[in-house]
Amino acid sequence: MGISFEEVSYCYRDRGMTPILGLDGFHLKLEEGRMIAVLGAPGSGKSTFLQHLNGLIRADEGVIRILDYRLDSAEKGKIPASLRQRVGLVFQYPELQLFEETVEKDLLFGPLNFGRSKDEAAEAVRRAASFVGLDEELLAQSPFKLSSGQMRKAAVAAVLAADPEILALDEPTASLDPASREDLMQRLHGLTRGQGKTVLIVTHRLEEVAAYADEFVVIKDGRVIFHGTARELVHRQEVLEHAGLMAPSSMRMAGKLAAQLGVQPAEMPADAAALADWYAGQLEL
Amino acid sequence: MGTTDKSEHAVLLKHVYYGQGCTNVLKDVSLAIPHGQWVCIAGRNGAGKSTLIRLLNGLLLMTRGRILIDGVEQNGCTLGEIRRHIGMVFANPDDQFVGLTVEDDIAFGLENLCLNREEMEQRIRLYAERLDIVHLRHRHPATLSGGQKQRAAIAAVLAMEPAIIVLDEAASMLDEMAKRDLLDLMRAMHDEGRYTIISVTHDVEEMAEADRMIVLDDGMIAADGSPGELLLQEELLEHCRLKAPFALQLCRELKARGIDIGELVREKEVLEALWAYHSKRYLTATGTGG
Amino acid sequence: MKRKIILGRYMEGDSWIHRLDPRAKTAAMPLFMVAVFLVDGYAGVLALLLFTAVVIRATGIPYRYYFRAMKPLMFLLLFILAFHILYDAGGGKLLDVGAFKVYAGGLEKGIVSASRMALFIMLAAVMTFTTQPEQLAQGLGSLLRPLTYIGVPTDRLVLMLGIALRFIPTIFEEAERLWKAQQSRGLDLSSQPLKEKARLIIALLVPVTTGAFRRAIGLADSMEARGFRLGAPRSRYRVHVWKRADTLFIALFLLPVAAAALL
Repeated sequence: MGISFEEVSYCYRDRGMTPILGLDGFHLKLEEGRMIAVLGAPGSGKSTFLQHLNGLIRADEGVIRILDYRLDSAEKGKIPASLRQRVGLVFQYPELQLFEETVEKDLLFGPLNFGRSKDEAAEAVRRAASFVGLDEELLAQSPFKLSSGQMRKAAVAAVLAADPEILALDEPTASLDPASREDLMQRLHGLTRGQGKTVLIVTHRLEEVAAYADEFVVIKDGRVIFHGTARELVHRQEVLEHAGLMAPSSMRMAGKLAAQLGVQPAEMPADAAALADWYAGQLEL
Repeated sequence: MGTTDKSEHAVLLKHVYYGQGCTNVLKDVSLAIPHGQWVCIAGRNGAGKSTLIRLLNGLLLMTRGRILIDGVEQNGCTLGEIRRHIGMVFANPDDQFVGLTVEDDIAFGLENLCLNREEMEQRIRLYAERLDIVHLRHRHPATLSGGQKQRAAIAAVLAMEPAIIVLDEAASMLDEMAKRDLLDLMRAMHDEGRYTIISVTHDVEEMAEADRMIVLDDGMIAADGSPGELLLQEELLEHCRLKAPFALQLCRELKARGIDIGELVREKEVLEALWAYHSKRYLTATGTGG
Repeated sequence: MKRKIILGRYMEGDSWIHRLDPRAKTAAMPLFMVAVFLVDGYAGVLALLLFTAVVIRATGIPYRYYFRAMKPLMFLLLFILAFHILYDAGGGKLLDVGAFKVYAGGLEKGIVSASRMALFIMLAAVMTFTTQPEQLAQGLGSLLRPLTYIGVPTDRLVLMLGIALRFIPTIFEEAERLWKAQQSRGLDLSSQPLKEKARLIIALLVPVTTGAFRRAIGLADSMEARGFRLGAPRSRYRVHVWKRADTLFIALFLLPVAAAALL
């Protein structure tokens, strides 16, 4: 159960003369029911990893186990629809992928494809819409008439409506305003805490997942170079630098303040309050 | 080209309106931006930010009012000249890349200026060097990262040597590293003193760096002042769906713990203030001790 | 919606063919076509194949890429071959199995016609593999330049072609992502009835089209903001310098034409 990638490699071969490396001996084991942040700079292979999760991309080498499925690079049979139902994928800028006449139809698309009855699907749609905070009256509208923030919510709901056990999102907060970002992160966090789902968030913004994620995976050049908790990550800040990622403001400030005081940096302060606590504590000494 | 008598203001708007149908997107906007100023424009989505900056170079045409760019009155005849004064960088790094290579993209604007080949080459070399994209000159946009594309876009705009640089959420589609690079670049451009920078942004750290902050709401100017003051107003931030910059959050938390360094919005200022605070405490402590 | 088509893509390289003036390459194409249509028999085809093999060799791009370029059109080639074999009854009879008869003339015509097509595809591949799309567009523009005198706006055509070449891959990428997103939401076209299939495909074209429009508007903004006006005078950055290698290249292509004409 859970998700496991064993020495998975994948190459993009159809994009010119030299094959481009997607994943390279990618090794990762994840448990269910947690929120996992997958961090990496653009081009690190994090989107490629994501598309392996429900068989949109089939590995060249290695074995992938997800829930009770086994995707072997040696045998490339048809991907069972149930895998796609149980592992939901939200692509980058998902609002650009809405296509039906009404928001409701778009949200129904997944559940109906996966063989839900009309009533079940309608119920699932209502639940998903209310979960992401999409007004029910918007359901009858054309998705192209929504504001960009509403479209993003609708697109996330469209995947949630299929009731996946694992939800993986590619840069879900990109180009949202700060308040909407936090709102979305809180709702996604609720999926793990409230409903026991596994949520994977692929992002380059450690800042916004720092407070929510249980585990952090850092990817560089198609390999996992770090997998651990926030606490472990603080002690290995060089990992972030190596992966071409920005440390969150709190972490950066903590480092600079520690240097000023001539002491060891704090553990990753989750926010300004934690950092202030630490700083005040240092002055007491 | 033409006369060189400079106006006092890089940008001057007098009672400008813009509407589609019977709804006004911008209402009675008056604004004066002096040369060399770095202005950020904030506001929630749909407040009219993009509309406002598109009026400046006539990508959208105002329905009423007057716009003067570098003293030149905007009308049908002066649009060409005005566009030479204003360089514009857009949010989507892909959609503003006209050429099939970085070099060709920079050349595109220069071709429109009807420069001769030698001058084009010279400018391409100069601005590619300045933006550190010399090694990317012959690359196709599909092989570039978002940050690299945005750098190329800025090089293309700067190569036309405009006095006013307008950025329309230019960092919004970039990763954090590239965003930081872009901010550094804006700072350097500002320090150089030859550019007036107008930037539409959602990024409070970027706002904190600007000289001036203008908040639009429902097509009107809701606030206009220094970021150091406006960013302190929680109601205003909340209305724009923004969060206080981390530096300011830290100041407030520190104050609650008895460490009062005032309310600062830039990380650098906070570090300096804390250094001063810390040194003073240290000195008084050792002073009384000795 | 998969990007399996390799013909038309540029392959980075540094062969002397890569470095040729795009005008020389664009001009070589019609010459080659003349030669291809002049040949009429095994000997001519073989000679042209050899010639093409040499040119391909000179590009430094492995042969297999040229075969891959031909692959999507393989069906067409086989069809041409089969058509001639089945319906062309010239020359001596080679095979006679019931209603199925193969004549030497038919076989030759089939092979020659299919080879013509293949030769043409291979040379088109040479062109696009070794020439940046924009260069190709400009090469074409230069060749068409005389048409300006009869009022054809060649500059504008070249710009349009360049922009199309620039954005087609991006729009394809977007379409691919859209397709994948729907696949991961359980879309399985093969299981749908024809009517639903048609409806879905049309519905899916909506976001692709709006996306293309959105890009077009963004691009227009960016072009206008950088002082572009339709019909306004512009200078040109890309100036091609015709070198001796270019003349030689053209001369090289006159060879098969002359040979084919004489044979």
